[in-house]
Amino acid sequence: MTASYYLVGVGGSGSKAVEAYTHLAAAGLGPEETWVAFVDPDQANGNLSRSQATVGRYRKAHGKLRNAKTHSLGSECPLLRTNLVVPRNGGVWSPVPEGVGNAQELFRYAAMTPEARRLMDSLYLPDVEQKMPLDHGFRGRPSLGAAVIVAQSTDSDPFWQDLFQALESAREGRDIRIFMVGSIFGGTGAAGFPVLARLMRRRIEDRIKTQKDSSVRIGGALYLPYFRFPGPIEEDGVVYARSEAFLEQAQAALKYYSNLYSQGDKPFDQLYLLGWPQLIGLDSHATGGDLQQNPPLLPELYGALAALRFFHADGAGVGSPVFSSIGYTHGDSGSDTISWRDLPEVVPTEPATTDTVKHRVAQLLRAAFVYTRIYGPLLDLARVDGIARQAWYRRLVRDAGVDIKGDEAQAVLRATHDYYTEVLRWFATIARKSSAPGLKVNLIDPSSFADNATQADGLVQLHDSLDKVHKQQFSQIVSETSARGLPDIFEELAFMPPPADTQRFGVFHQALYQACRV
Amino acid sequence: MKDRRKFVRVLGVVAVHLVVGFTAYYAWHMIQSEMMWRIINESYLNAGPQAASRIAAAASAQLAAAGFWVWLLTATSGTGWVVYSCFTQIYDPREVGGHSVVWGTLFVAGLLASGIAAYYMLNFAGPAYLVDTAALGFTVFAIGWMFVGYWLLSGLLFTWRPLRPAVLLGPLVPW
Repeated sequence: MTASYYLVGVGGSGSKAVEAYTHLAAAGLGPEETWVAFVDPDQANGNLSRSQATVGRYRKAHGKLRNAKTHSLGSECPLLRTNLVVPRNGGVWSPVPEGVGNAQELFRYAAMTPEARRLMDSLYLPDVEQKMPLDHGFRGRPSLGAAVIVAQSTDSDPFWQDLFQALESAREGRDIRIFMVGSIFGGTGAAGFPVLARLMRRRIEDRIKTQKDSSVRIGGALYLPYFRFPGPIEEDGVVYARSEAFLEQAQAALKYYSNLYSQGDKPFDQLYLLGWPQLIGLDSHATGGDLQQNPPLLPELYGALAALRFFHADGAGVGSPVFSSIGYTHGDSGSDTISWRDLPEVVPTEPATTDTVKHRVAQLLRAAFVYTRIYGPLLDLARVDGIARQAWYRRLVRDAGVDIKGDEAQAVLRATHDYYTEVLRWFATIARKSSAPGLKVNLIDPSSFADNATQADGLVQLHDSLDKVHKQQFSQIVSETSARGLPDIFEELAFMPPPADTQRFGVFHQALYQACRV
Repeated sequence: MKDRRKFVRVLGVVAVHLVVGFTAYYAWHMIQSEMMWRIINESYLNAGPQAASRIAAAASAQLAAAGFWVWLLTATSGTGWVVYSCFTQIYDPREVGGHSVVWGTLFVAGLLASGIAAYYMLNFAGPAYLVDTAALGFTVFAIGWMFVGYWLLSGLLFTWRPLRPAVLLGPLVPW
């Protein structure tokens, strides 16, 4: 049975998991197509903006290099394999309508009967929660978020319309899989998660019940607390999310889920709970808006891997409970280390020893390095004459019919460069920022291409230039792997036959990708 | 593992170089002997035994010098080519230009070596030997070894790609 896949990131952590999913899709670990969307009341949230931008860059690169009429990678090539579909409205649903400032305005408190007011006052603190500005999310108040989401999820909303339209366009007999990912300890994720799952299941089943043989399976990944940030100074009447409260909120939420499942109400066919042994310290915290651009962290990659496992599982695998604990290695130095062995495979039936995730991610990362740091800049208009007679260029670019000085070819170059740059910055940030005291992340060594300093978007910046030492370090950027170096790649590009089933710029890009295998 | 493989290949180059070099030198020795006999015979017939002895001694010295130069110059430039090819690491296509200069220099040095050798051979005993088949054959052999042999050798031994230097040279090679 063919399937349609839908991924929904709820809240800031959820949107960052979608960001991670995008990069795994680029590495060829995803299905043919995935519909992606976000749920966040704070549409200006920096985390959400960055994830949307990442999806946008991916889609642009995918559109340029997966176009059967122009430039095309081979159908079997894993690079940029998944078609990420974004709904017409941009794929973001905000449960807080524009122009609504706080909960009192949203629920029309002023127009309520005295009894209704008393009820609301007893549920939500009148001067704090009811008047808390909602434009930056629910700030660690899931009870408020749940009420808002239920009240606002109407069929007239473009987000829901798009979702149902996408689902209905899936032909009869399709297996529909929806995966939601968010945090259990924040505001939006904790509030929206169970509510959205229940709403979706109910509405989808109502909508498609006439379609025979279709089945809807909903999976989810919930983050337990995995980061902490220095608390902001509290001003009168302003509510902030505090990381000190995360553990208590998570505990309460887990009890809620426990009760839910013990009563037989299972909004999810499969639910992943993702915990982390050490809270990862973030340098700063903003309450929302575009200032809230937290760096990507390794647990978000696990969330994306959970989504992929759910998508790749067979029908029986989805319905069965999974209890799994990711181990990590106790290093000689006394600190624990997370390495490639600790990442689960995305095909549940595949043994962990196949290392598919490691190989695909490493290949993507290496290709991104080689393209953005070495070959891409040489294909720029101003520099291409200098390499025009070299064998790799003649065989893989010129003879493939690429008019390198044409606008179209240069647009492909820019789109690929932009996305690959994002890949490097994202993985470098994961490597730099995910380690906590006593727990070291040892997946890649970004010292040959990235600085320590983060930019405004929460990602580390890349080195301005590439010196000889950096080039020599290239073969060691993937930890625990002795991969081929840049000279081997240069030679392979000079000699390898053009990859089959490729067109124009797809020839060079696939050749480069293949040469970067580990 | 990779270093060990490279070490074995370098040993291979040295071994092949010694074998080919010895064969070339032995061939040269045989040619020289043949040529000496012909010089002595002709000198004896034309000028008598004493002149023949003097001419033969002079010719022998010239031939030995020519052999030495052929050996030294082709071997030096050729070995330089091979060794340089072995250890050339092109990290970035921008580096090709610099390597091309070295490769090109060695290539020109090989040409010059063959030219100098040919000059010696053609001048040591006068115009009568200009078209000497054996001498011409050896010159062709030396040039051929320089041009093709070392390319093949370096390519085959180090990447199993005979045209590796040619392709990596890029800008200098038209195909």
